[in-house]
Amino acid sequence: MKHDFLDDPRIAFAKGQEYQLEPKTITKDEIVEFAKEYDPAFFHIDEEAAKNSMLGELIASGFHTCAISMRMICDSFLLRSTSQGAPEVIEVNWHAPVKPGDTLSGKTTVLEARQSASKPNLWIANMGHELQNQNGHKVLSMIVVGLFAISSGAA
Amino acid sequence: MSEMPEIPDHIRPGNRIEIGDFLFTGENILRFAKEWDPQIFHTDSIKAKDSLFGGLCASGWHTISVWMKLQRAASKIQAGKLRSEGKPVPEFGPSPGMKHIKWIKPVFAGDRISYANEITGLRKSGSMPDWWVMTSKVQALNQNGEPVMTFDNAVFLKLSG
Repeated sequence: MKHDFLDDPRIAFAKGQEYQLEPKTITKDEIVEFAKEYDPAFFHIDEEAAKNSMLGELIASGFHTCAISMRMICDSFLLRSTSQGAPEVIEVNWHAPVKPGDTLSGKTTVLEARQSASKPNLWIANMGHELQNQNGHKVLSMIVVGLFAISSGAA
Repeated sequence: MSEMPEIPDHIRPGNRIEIGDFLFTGENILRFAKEWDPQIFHTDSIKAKDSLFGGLCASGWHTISVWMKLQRAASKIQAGKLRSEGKPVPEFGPSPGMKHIKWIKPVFAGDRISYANEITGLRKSGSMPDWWVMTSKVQALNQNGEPVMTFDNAVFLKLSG
């Protein structure tokens, strides 16, 4: 039943719809591994050296947090939807650092939604994604403009 | 503290800095997407043909993470150059966020993407003493000179006088 629901973005991604994101725990090894490849700042890869950084400890790359949020969004609802990608992220805010051992959970809220005027088989939804850590502190928020196919033929 | 320290070229407002390029391949597109963004147009070259993109393309988070990778490498080179000239080296800290990330065109396997930063501002942080906030417009172009991604970045920066 849930699959059918996500098949029609006019319902699934109408303004006000909410989706809980399945929690994910991040280890120190994962933080270091991602950062070594994409963001090798000393405060993302070296626990000792990170003690002398602005935040005083090893923290995850913000791009790692974004990648984690994308995977949580995919697993929680997006892969079962008619998603056709996202042309824009209006804003990304890293509110607090993500640290080794943190368990992130979150929520997606559809903030605005409309049928495309130029391509009537596309649904455009502004999605607010928010992640928080196990202490209830917000770590990431972003507003993504998502595109969804209206007829299942394009999906 | 109140003096404006010497500002190196790569963080001076008004300057445009080419930071490098990266070849996206079917292999690296799939590797990133399978881990972080396994939508079919990033993971299945056959089914991707029926998507809006018309073919397998990189996750936007891959395209932007590669900017960070090249930016770190470019900063390291700049730091080495400044150090060899006996000049103070700015320390890049974390970023409070980004705005207006636009994934303008898909990045397909075989595309070579070059990245540049246009420095748009440098001001003292209101909340963190000794730290500055540098803003920039980042642009990523494919091998045909077409923009594939732009965004507005902000980063904390420590400058010694």
